[in-house]
Amino acid sequence: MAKARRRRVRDTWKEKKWYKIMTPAEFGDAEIGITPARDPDMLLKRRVESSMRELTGDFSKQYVKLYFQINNVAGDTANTKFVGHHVTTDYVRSMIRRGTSRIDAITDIKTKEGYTVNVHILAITVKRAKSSQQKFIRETMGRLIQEAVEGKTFPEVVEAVASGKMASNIYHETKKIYPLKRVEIIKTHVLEEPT
Amino acid sequence: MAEKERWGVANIYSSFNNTIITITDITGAETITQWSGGKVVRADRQESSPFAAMEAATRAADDVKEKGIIGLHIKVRAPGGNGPRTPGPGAQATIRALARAGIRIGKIEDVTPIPHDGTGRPGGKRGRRV
Repeated sequence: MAKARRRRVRDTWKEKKWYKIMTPAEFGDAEIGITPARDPDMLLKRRVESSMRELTGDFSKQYVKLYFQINNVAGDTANTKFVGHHVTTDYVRSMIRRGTSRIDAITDIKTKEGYTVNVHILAITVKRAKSSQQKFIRETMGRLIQEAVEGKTFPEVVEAVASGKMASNIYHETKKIYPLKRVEIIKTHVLEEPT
Repeated sequence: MAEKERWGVANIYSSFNNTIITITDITGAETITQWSGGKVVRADRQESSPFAAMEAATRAADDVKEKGIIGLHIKVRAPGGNGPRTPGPGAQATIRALARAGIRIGKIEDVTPIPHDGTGRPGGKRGRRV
């Protein structure tokens, strides 16, 4: 019984072809890796995870994970689109200490072409902030990101978020309210795309 | 990354009762092999032991090498949820056995599911009374 089953598995494995997965244009059309599939249609909607380090070679951005989803296949290359990013939990946890405040702001932003992206911004203060200050920081962060995104295209937004430029801009503006240690965009999630 | 290097992901679920190794491609959609502590030992209580994990990992490594994969990224996972959040005894042994079997290890990550808020832990107010 066991033997027969193993043989069957091996057969399907041989039928599979390997496809190259490429990053979208905003990440420089680089190859992320290869994935096997029996049928090119089976590749669609597969999700790949990649870190900023692998794509740019920047060791200080190791904690940023990017998610890509395969949306079309041409020959033996599979093209992807950006669907979101995450900052690793261990990195977030290492920032949060006692005697500091953690302020989260979650908003939806809209780009010029009509993409809706859910953004999660995290700010860490140097000392504990009063709740009124926290509230103000949260509101400002939400407002700043809306202003920063206005009139920008999706690739521009993605680039600014992934490289950390957006976060550092927000940091320089919001630290006037209360001393901040760090501002980071810890999550994005593409909710809607223009069809 | 060079052209023909095939990488995979080793999803290691390590609880106090068992260690399950699932090796997939980088998308997680194609499973390459699956091994667990229970597949290599007889007694139930040994399923989670480092020895069982080691044995399962070396066998998984053989399958992986046969299919031409040279390296693995690792995702370690404990039960999480309302259960323990530190991986069990088999996790470390698995990673070591994979490395010793000649497989290159990429990034190692903890993917234990941690609730933002969920159901309470079993045991009630006065704890587990044995």
